[in-house]
Amino acid sequence: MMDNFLQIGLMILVVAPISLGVMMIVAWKGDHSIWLQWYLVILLSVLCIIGFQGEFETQEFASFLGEPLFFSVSSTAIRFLILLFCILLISLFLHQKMTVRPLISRVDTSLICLSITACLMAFFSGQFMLRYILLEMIGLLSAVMVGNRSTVSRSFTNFSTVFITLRLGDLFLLSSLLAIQPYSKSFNISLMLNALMDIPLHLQRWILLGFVLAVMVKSGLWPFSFWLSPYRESSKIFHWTPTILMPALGYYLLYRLSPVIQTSRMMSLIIAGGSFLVIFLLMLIYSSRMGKTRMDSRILSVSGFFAIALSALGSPQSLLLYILVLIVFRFSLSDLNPLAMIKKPILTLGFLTLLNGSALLLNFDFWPTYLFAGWVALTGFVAVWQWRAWAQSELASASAEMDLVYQPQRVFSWIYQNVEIRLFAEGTRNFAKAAHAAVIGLYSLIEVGIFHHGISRFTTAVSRSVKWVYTHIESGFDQGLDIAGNWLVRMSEIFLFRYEDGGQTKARGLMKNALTWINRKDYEAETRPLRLDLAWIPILLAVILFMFVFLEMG
Amino acid sequence: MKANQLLLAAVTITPLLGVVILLLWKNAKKKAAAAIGIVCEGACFLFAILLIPSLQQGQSVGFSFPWISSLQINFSLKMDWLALIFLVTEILVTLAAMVYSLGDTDGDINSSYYYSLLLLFSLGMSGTTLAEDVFLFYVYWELMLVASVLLILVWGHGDRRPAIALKYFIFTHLGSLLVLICLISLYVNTGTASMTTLLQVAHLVPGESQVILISLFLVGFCVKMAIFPLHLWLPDAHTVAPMPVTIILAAAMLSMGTYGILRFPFALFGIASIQPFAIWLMIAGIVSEIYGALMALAEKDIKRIIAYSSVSQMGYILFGLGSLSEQGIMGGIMHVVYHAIVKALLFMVVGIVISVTEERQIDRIGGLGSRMWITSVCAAIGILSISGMPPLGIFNSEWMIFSGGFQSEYPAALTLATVLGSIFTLVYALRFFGLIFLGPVKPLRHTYQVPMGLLIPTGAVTLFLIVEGFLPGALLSWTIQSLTSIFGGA
Repeated sequence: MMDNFLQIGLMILVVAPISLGVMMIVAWKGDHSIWLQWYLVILLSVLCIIGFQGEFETQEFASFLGEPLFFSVSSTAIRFLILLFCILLISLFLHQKMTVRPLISRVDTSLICLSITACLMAFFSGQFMLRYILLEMIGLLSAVMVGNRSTVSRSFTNFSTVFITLRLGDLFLLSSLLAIQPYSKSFNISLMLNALMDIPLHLQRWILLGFVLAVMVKSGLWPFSFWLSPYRESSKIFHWTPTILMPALGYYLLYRLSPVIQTSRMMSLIIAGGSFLVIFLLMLIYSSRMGKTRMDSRILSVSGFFAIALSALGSPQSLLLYILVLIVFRFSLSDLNPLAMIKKPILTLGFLTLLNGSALLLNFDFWPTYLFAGWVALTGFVAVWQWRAWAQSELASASAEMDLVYQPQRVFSWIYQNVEIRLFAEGTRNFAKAAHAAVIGLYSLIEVGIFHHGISRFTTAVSRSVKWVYTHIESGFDQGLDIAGNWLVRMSEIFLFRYEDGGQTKARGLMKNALTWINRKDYEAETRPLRLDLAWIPILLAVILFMFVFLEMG
Repeated sequence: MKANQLLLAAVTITPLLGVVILLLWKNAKKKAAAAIGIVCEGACFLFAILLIPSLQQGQSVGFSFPWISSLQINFSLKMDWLALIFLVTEILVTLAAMVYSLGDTDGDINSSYYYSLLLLFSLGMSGTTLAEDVFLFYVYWELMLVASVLLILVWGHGDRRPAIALKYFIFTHLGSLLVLICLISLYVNTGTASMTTLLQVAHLVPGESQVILISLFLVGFCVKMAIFPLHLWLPDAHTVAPMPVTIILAAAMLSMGTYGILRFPFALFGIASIQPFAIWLMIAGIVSEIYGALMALAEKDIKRIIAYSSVSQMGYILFGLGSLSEQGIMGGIMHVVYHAIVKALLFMVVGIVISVTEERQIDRIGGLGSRMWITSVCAAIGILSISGMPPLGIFNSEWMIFSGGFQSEYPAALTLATVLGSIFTLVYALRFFGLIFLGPVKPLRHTYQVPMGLLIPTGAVTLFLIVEGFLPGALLSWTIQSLTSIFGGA
């Protein structure tokens, strides 16, 4: 009964922001800030009540692509949510107190309400597929928010930058999730994380790398921090979704991965990589003066890499506390104007001390002595350098926001100029240009050059070949047949002449000759004088005949 | 004949009836001709849906009449779950294209012939999916080609249409000939033209012959799918064809290649025989996916951008099929359906943009979002969907394809390349949307009024896309059943 009550309550909680957003869009045209604040107060109260119920899982409330969807309420998720909504509430409150402030329109309200729903579902989701979908949704909302609030000329560029970068992070996450799935046979988060521990090492390494890259993109860590820069151009109240919620989801993922990282062979690599990047970025910060926003971004990256190192090295409690404080720290660096007024170096230093010291205090019993010594050194190093960096950023004037003033006497300025500026800042731009040129080249060369023109040329060549065949072979056949025909005719004529006509003529001649001869002989016979002397021959013959008769009779 | 056999016969007879009426009524006005076409397609859709209960009850839906008795070739039709998915997709796309054509200027001349050919085109696709006899399959397969070529030749745009129609015909016909060689070879080797019988006896074909047959089948059907580098016919044909024909070509006809691959090499010879080809299918899929996306990124003609996106999307499908995993193949089948809906939507949007601006070059168009907000919302949903944004349709199928890739026994790097390559899809989709609908307005016109005849079907397809994305249950169930019908419950 209680479970059903909780489940229904949770559903109402999740659906309520969307309903509220729709209602506000339809019903109220004015400033929605006050309504949102009241709603958030109620939401926080409900979350506290749920938090007191302890950890529980709901029944499957739907299925998507054959995967059961359910919520899993944990105290950690509740802590994250309470913190995030408190930050939103404070932002709204401060926004309302501003003398010159942009109106929160109906579109803005609906986007914030959608973000709240997505946030609730993402933290309560017990299933990675649902969480992935919600991360994508929040990425889209972040991009829409910046596109909606940017100038017309920058709107599309800002939208694309944010959306494509966050999508890249999602794809890293997706690759890792799908690579685990054949082993876990489920998208249940707990089952997947358990399965990850048993995955073959070579695959596990890549999966963890995908997760860490996703965390880096989502949390806006260097060198993926550029997607947060468009938010400088938009109104500050709308920063909550991209600059607070999205990184929080990234860190929450890191927190859930922490037990896996600590048992994997990637642990030492992540500690080393995280620590290296912390020191490397601090060097970059120290080696140059830069605008406040860029400085903030670098400091947040340092803290983020610290969190990544801590996920492999520290206790879960220390990591959780570090992340929660980091979210507050991130909020304190935001440019919400009233808060910026109260931002003092001493306050920042307090945050930093709390941030770095929290992990130190909580890990006292957790680490072996030699690690502890290293940790103390690293924490002190980070705290001092962050403070120095912060002090430097305070020196940067508002007009020098984007200007970078190098200090050539510093050793690290070379790294800064070559790695940060040439490799990443200019390198990324040049890479994009080169990629674009390559695509155009590919299009011109292969699609147009080889395929399109190639087909035309091929067609022309075939046509010419056919013409040649027609001219030389087909016509040749004709001519050959003509020649053969003529030859045959001629042969026939020859044979006809020789054997048919010739024979006939010859026969005719012979006949003619014979006739002529007969005629001639006839004529000769007719014209010849009669020889009477020859009459004796028959008489003589008759006498002989008589003689024979007489002799016979005798 | 049983009721379900009558319904099955009606699916193929109804378009013919429409053709006869239209040919008799030669002077029919466009609206009247379109109405006949729409009614026929609507009836076909209804008949197909009415057959679902029979399939659910496990009844056999099919009939057979002697055709060439001496050769034991029959006029046999049969519907199973796989055929149902492709049939319904094809009919719905044709229906949407016909409704869209009402707001379009194409087909204003000789309307009765235009819609007759559209119906024959649809009949060709329906028959291809339903044919139970391999020679009947080929007859319908070629009917599909002939009807579409005539539509491009007569009602296409531009002076180059005869050349392009010829190119389209020759290319796809070459593919068809490869298929025909295989069909004849199968018939000669097994002595039967019935697909059901072939399922049982195809394994009797000698191993070496099987390899040749599978290769020829795959190449033949990949031509229809427009897989790189066999895609050369596609961009030109899509660009020149009248918009409703383009919609059908891109959204429905391409999927016939997928159907052929599933129905012949996969179903007849089984997964084990396809194994040696799998990795090549996956690689061809990846290359096609990335190449198509890059070309869409470089292209300036908005119709060609979407045409190249088809090359890219077919790559996903081929990759899913090549994974040879249950999830991958299911994802491939689902992708056919989602791609059909999204592609129909995007071409409808392109049609609206061209009809309003009279421009096709993307750098001459811009800022239309503020002038045509409904169209821009539809386009936004279309591009988000094609980018695989959850929970809009294509996300579901891509998820399954990628998942299938990781489940396959082939290197995970291939799947990783596909997953990361999908970022290019997002980039060209955003470029398409951003340049057309955002920024300063161009070209300047007195009015940006979109004809309701174009807007209503576009809105309906958008709505359908959203619903299909959020509620993939029915499609998923059909797809699971279709696997059973392909592999016989294996």
